[in-house]
Amino acid sequence: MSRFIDIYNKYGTIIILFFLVLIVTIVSPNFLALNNILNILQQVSVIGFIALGMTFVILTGGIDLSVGSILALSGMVLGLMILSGVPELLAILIVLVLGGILGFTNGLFISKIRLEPFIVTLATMTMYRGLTLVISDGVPAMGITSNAPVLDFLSQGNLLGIPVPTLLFLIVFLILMILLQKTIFGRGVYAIGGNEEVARLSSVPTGRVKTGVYVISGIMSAFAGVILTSRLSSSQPTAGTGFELDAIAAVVIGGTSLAGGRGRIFGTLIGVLIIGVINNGLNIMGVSAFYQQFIKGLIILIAVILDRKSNK
Amino acid sequence: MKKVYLGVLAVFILILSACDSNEANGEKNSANGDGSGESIALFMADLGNPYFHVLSDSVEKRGEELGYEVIVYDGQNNPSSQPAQIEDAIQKGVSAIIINPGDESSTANALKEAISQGIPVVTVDRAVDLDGILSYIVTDNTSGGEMAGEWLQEYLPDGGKVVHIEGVMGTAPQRERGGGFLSIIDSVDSNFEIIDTVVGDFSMAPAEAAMSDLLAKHDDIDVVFAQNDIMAVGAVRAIETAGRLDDGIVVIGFDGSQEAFDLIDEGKMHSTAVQDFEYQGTEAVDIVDAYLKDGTEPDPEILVDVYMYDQDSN
Repeated sequence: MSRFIDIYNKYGTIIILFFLVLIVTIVSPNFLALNNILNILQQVSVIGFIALGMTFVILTGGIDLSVGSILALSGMVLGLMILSGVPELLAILIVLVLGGILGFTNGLFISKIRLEPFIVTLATMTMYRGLTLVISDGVPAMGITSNAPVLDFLSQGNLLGIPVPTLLFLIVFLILMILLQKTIFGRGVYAIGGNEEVARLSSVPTGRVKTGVYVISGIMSAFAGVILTSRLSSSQPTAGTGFELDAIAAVVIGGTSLAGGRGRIFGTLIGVLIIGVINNGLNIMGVSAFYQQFIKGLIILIAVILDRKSNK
Repeated sequence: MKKVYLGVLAVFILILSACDSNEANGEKNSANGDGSGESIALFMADLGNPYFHVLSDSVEKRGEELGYEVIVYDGQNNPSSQPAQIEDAIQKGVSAIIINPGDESSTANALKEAISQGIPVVTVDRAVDLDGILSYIVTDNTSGGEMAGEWLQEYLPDGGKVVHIEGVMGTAPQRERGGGFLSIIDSVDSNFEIIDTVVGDFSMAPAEAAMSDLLAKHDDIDVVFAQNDIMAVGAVRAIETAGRLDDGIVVIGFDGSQEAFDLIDEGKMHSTAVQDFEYQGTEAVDIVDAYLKDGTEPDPEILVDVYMYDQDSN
């Protein structure tokens, strides 16, 4: 019996994912068609990048509400640069740096002026969205990938039969997992989430680590912006609205505590897949639009309750 | 250290608001009228959206013809900027107000002030929650949905399998456009079958994602009806991505945006229900004119028909 509990503790979220897949497959067998699996893996990469960054932030006990706006702003900057003829690789690089700067701004207000992360990122969420509207005049930029082979490859390409966004997501996941689990920075992230004062006394550079997690979150959001822009071949000023909630949900479902200090980035990977399976499954099963939101919320709630039980 | 940050922040805000006021106060006066000195203030929710220029241009043109000076204010997609602009116009002593409000409530107090001073107010494309509005001109979304359905019946007389992409659930356009369309396509004697309904929230990314899901689920979709054009554009993108352009899926949108016209001309999209903004603008000026000249009370709500744009429209 204790063996079973051990397994459940370790693989709780995976079990939830497994049952979700099972239920959707029984109701609608074409869910497991290769086409649809690839479709899900491709779709979750956007939320996935954001959720990976969000994991670092939440592990420090913080929150980043500005991710959707950073996605929109970087996507719009990317689109406008491509349309005005900036070389693709340069444009992508600039946008990732921009995401880092936007995250750095969040981090400065949080670590130096010691404002609440919720308030700071709520404010910058509005500001970054506003900047997106300013630079775009509120008009979407269209036809971006028609002369941009690299961007087109990033969203539509395949390597060894796997969609490129999915591969990129897995590579970034591995890099961030090493960063979190094998470096001093990673240990600092957990230490701050556990007890910031103790972390500071044991000479963790708390200010720099806290700023760092928002920089990571910003870069990841910009990355998501690049992928989404190339997937849609268009920069939408309203892109990414509400993405912060899906990302936070994925992190929490993955077993990371909102209080900080406890959680694994592997859990986030599973959480992202769960969100993706829910979104796709509800459409595949043909669940009425009116019920979808309610059911999605309910599943998130159940997943979190089960996970908490397993962690006790 | 703190002071330095605050200082930087203050300067930043000042620069921003300076930029903003340059544009926001840059209202332009058009026409000089026939010397009657009568003027109409036109408040647009967002002239950044090129689609709305059709509306403002038609108001300016008609106003000019009837001898009014038309003063155009741009809310720049920020509903909270409109009340101050209205107060500004009241101070200027305009004779009438035509407004395309950014939302249903922000401008209510400012417009109440205008109405209490006897300035007639006509709202276009969106209502304001307020008594005393002279008239409210809006697209007849229900009949637009019906027309999209009738167009489809004519285009595919033998029927087919239809996917319906809804806008933001619970909003008037979502209910009315969908309701009108379904009343034709989902009726008993229709050859069409609605095989799936998904939500696209009137925006591109969710519509594209939902359409990708449906393309993975079905290999026999004949028709997509999206409740606005940007969702239709997203659906086309999903079809393109899935390599299914050759399926010849008929895509129908709603609005009449430039992006949709372009896709229709390329043959990737098939039709869109166009909101007749030119007529709405002209009608708004005519109502104001009749009221100012001899007190004619118009209908409190005027529904404007849409028309279908397809490849034959060129």
